[in-house]
Amino acid sequence: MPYFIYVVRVFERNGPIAQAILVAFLVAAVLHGVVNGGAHILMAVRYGAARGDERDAAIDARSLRVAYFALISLVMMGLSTIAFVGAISTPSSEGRIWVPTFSVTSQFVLFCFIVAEALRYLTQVICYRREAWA
Amino acid sequence: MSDPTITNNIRRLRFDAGEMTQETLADEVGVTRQTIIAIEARKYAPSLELAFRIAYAFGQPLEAVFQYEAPKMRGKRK
Repeated sequence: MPYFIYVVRVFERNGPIAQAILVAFLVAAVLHGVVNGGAHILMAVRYGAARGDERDAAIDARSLRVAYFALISLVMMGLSTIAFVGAISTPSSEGRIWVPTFSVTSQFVLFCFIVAEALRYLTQVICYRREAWA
Repeated sequence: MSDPTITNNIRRLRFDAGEMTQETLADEVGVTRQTIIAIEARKYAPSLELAFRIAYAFGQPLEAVFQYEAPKMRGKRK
């Protein structure tokens, strides 16, 4: 089951409070989109269309490399942890061993993407602010 | 990270060209002013094509604009 469908169903099961939170989240997401779009339009009007050059491309490529490395490292660490825990765990009385649920796996994958994306932006900020090599 | 080994005379050449601004040079060679600032400050080594475009903008040969400083090695090349 796709992660977001799973989340919506969980919210549906938990009554009006959860639905109010979901509505608040959707309003915040739309507001974020409007503010972000408005800021981009304002910047384009104020400073003209963004014109990238080879240094921008080099910094972008570098930040993507960092993000990709972080993503792959985190995923490999996660898989290794699952394999390690599976290898050392003792089966329960029913003969079951611990395996990560879909929810746990989804959260972990989302966490990996968020960390990778945050590192990508951080690398860009460092490269631009320090005018570093790219 | 080691310092770049490519130096340049862009600041002096801009002065000689009637105090050409970084913005003017950037427009002539087709990059942003921030890139010119980074190149002047030796924080960014331009591509060969951009280096040629900058030299062309000043009407100078490439070696008059950019110089290569060989990094100090343990054993010197003969």
